[in-house]
Amino acid sequence: MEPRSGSASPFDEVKYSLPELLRDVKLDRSSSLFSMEKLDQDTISRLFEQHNSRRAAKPGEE
Amino acid sequence: MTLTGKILVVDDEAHIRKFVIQLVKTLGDPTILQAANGEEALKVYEHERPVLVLLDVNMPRIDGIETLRRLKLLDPGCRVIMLTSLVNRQTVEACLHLGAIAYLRKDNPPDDMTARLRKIVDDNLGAKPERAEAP
Repeated sequence: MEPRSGSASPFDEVKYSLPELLRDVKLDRSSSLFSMEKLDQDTISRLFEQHNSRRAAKPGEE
Repeated sequence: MTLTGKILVVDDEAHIRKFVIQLVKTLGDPTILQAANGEEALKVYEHERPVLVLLDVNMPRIDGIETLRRLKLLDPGCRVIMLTSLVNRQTVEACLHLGAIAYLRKDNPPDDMTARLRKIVDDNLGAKPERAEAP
């Protein structure tokens, strides 16, 4: 992440690289606070429905 | 869909097994099998090949996650519903990625649990593609 100079648009001020972003997401997901988050039943059901529909769309993958 | 066939209920607490069995029986006329731990569950599954397993996570010796992993090795097409009071994201995601078809919190009200279980059975207890015979 590096500030970009010489631009007026607020959207151009911070630049993320995809690998950096993915690394941060991975770190967040493995941090104890995130992994120990308590999930309600609706959230759990939604996670499984999404996962199962993806699996059904790609047969052969587990 | 009316639930029939063999259903394996795995929990180390007898009163929870009793509760789950009552719940399952409201969905049809299944043959109930029981196991009090992961090792027993694997043995019963191997011999009886139930159409559905209801599996607790927090059990002594072999926990539900390890039992799920071994069940999937034994039969990749096995259908397992996790039924537990452990609801942290890490546990839920582990079961999701190991191939459980659903995950139910034990603290759901019984009516809600029955409705959710009915939907899971309707959505998942069709043909098993992994066991389909070649034409």
